[in-house]
Amino acid sequence: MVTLALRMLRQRPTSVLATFIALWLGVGVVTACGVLLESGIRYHGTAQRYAASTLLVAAADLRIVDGNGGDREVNHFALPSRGHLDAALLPQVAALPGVRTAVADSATPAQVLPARGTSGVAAQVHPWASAVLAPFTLRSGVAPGAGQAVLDAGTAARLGARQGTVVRLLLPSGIRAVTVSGIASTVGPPPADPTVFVAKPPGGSADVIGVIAASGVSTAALAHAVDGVLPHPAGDADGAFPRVYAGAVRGMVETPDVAQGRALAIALPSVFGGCTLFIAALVIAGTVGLSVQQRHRDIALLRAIGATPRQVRRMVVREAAVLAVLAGASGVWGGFAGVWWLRDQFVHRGMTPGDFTVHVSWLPPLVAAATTLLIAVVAAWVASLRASRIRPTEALVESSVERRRGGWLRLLLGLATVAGGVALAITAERLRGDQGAGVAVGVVATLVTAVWLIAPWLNRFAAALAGAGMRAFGVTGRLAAANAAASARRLAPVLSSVVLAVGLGGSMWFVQTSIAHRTAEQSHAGLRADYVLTGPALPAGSVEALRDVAGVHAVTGIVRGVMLDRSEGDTQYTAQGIEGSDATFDLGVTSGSLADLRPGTVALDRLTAETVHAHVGGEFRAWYPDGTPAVLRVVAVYSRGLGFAAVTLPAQVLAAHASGLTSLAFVSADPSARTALVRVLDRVAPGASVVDRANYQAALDKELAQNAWANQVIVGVLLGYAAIAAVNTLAMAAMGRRRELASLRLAGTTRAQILRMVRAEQALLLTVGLAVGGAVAAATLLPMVRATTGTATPYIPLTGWASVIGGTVLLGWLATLLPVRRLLRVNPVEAIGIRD
Amino acid sequence: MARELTPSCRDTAFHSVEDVQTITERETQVHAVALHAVQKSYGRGSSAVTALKGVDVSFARGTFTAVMGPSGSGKSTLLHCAAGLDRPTSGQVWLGGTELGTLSETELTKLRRTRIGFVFQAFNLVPALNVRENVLLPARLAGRRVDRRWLAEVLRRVGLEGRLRHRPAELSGGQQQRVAIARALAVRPEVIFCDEPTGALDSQTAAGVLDLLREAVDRDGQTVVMVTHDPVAASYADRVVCLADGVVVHDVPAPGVTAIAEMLAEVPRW
Repeated sequence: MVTLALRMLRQRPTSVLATFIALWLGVGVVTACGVLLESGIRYHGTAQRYAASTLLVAAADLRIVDGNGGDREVNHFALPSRGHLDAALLPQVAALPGVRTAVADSATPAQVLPARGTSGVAAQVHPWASAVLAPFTLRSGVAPGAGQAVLDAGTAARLGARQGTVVRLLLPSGIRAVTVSGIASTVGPPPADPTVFVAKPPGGSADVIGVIAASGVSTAALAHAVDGVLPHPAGDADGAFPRVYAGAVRGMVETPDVAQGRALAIALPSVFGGCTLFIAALVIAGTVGLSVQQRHRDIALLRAIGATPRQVRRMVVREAAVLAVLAGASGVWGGFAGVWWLRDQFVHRGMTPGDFTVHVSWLPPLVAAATTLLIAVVAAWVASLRASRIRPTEALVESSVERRRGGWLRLLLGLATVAGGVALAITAERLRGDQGAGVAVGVVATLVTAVWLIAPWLNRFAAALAGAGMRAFGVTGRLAAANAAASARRLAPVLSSVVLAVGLGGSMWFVQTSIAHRTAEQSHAGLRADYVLTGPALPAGSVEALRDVAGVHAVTGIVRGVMLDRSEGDTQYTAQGIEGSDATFDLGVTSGSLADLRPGTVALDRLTAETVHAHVGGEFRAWYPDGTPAVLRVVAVYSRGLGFAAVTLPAQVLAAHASGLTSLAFVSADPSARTALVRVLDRVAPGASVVDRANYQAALDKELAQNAWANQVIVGVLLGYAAIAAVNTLAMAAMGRRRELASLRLAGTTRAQILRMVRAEQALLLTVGLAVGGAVAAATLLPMVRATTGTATPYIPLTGWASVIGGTVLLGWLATLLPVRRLLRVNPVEAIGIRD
Repeated sequence: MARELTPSCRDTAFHSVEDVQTITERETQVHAVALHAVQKSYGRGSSAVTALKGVDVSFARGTFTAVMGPSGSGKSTLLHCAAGLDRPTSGQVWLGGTELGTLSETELTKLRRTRIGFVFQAFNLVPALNVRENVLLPARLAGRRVDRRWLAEVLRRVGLEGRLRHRPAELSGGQQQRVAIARALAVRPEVIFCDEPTGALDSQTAAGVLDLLREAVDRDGQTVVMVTHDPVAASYADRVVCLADGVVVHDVPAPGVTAIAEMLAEVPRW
């Protein structure tokens, strides 16, 4: 039977190619997702600064306990900033047997500047004692004393600094001039971040303890011993607690950014891969179903001469399985190519640190190929049910007749799925934030499945509706109307693939444009400042210094970071800390007042307030970036959260719980004050620059586009897949009309008339596809847009309309008319031959 | 002979089940296929069409029967029911000692591929397979080995030894029909059913195909039941059964071409 299946496949290159392409793409995308996922899971950064440490102690994870009692689940989420460690911990660890060295470390971001000038190097300032953890060794000079610093060789070279040179450190606390006492370097590759060592850390308390084992002491034994002295949280306590990190995970402690890149490399393929599998299932069920339909007569003949229904089913399933195996074997290579390209893009765009590497093992391609095989087999099995129902007598009749529209069961199931999709859409409407967006993806999936189920009835309904109009266009219109009505079931997979492409594109793409548009809109509407000061961190006191400049009316200092959701450790809210005036921007406060904002209070954007069920006067519970619990009283709710930040706090509060925050200042000033501003800035924050509002907003728009890149890739690939699937099914359906078109031509229909007829049918199909796809897109897009932007109206750019409608029409046209033209070139007498 | 049996079959409708069994068992000694009170309707309600209105007919072993009648007379339906391709609405179909109505779809299919051969008007062969593979297909589906000598004999007889690797599309209509006959003969079925086997062929090619069927009956003792509306084709048969409007109206042993034509001419058209 396998030989027979293969022979029959060879006879139908179009349907084979269509199914193969769908499978190949499925395998490729899922492989890429799998490899990326595995790379993400295995990615822990590289321990460079801590390469010589045996283990590290840090509060680098947020512990969240779900449930209680027996089915308690403890989850750890990497924190954006490390939590501070109790000073009493170091002596306890150092005193443990088996510890050769234990040193406290902390990293403070700083700009290293030459004595004069404003161009510096962004570096991390560490205490000199922690140099042994890399280890850094002095190449020249001596260890730093008070007022002195040791630079790594690279930084020294970039600044042209030698022993005795005076450099300035721009720290959050202000500018400090230090003398270079020595130059240090590592034996291995130098850490990615330039490093400066000082005698005593400027940040104060330590956030990492590095431990080096005495010789002969195993890592496991040492880890156990160290863990013994750490304070252990109560069973159900949430929060950031010190833990022991050994081996590869030390890289994540060293560079908190790793967690962000890692999260991306894990989350992106998870969503993406799931969507792809869903599309693959629909597409493959469609193409296999079509190929069964087109081989209807062959199958009836096989049934007549003795193939049992089971044998026919097996044949169809095996065909699909053979294709899936071939597609699997070749598709994984496409996936590998894709994942390397993605990796380069991630690094290039700063979405993952540069040491993010692709980890290739046999598992992801195997799983991708196996999953696709499974989907192909299940989809083919569903399609084969129809094949086994083909009656042997159908081989004996002259022409293939359109079968019934499909059972009532199918209609009922379809209507139930529509109802489910609508119910889900309503749920998505109620949810806010990330939850809503997640549910909305499910809405597309459900509704497209529903369309696939009820497509025969939809087609028939549309044919009946349009029939009267089409018949007005003479004989070709009549033919087209009759065909549309008669082939309602045949066109079901074609319609659903068009709906899939339109629905998916119309929702996933436009939710991006809506968010970007709203963000830009809010930021443009809310920004009152004439100038924005950007660049390296603005140290304490800058706001006061700037406010005193003549011609300056108001200055707001802003630090940007995140707050973590109380119970979902991986859900982050954008946060801004503000100091100084609140007159340089307008958050669109709807209730309460920003004037009441002080330590212990918070202002929330409306969407966030709705998500966490908070209101003015109520409580907002969350985590600071370093894992410190935040219980804050809400003093204001505002509307422009997308354009600014979801959470607004006093700057000193946010800065106390995070390191390496982006900071900027909004300044309302007369144009004449600009020169003075630049002069003051060069003094208090060398390297920062003054940008006027228009330029700042232009840069912001560009950044928004950059941030949307990952989503654009997903939408692009999924949309491409859906479009190829639609083209596949359209072309297959067209090629399957060989006999029908030949008999029309033999009956005297001219080529031109046939083309007109096909165009009329196509117009109807594409109209229905666009209308239904549009409805699916709307049902998904509206709740998604409401959940993410808080407004009901999505933003769809003109190019978006043009691409979706124009693309559907163009591809639909090409995919049908090109095959039909080819069919029309064949002599009709030959075409009507033994095959249909 | 079948003519005489028919009334007795009608009477059996009033006998007990055991009586029917006894009678049919006796009949199966002589008859390859027997239909008893076979009715077949398509559709439901007002749109229902009754294609067979209680047909009793049997086909003796080792005979060649032509089933004739105008379009819509039910002759194709009769063939489909007799061959187990379709199920009668009521009545019984016996193939040898097996009542087809008692079989499941899969059992019916298995019976078809081992005990029944088919030759249709067109669309007869699997286009993807070559001549040899098409001939072997029923045996392969049944998971059986084919007697090599018999296969060689069959292929020699239909004159296609030189074209075993050809695809159906590379053969003429007559050659395709010969392949179909070879396929039907290869499994040595109890009956070969033909549905207009010469319908698409010119008279000379048709004669070759009919000679092959005749030879199968005369040399191998095959039973052949052929639906046709060509009096010339029917004249190759031992017996002509004529249907009109779902009932048997004539049942004549070996009439000549002229007699058949006259018989057809007087049959009421529907």
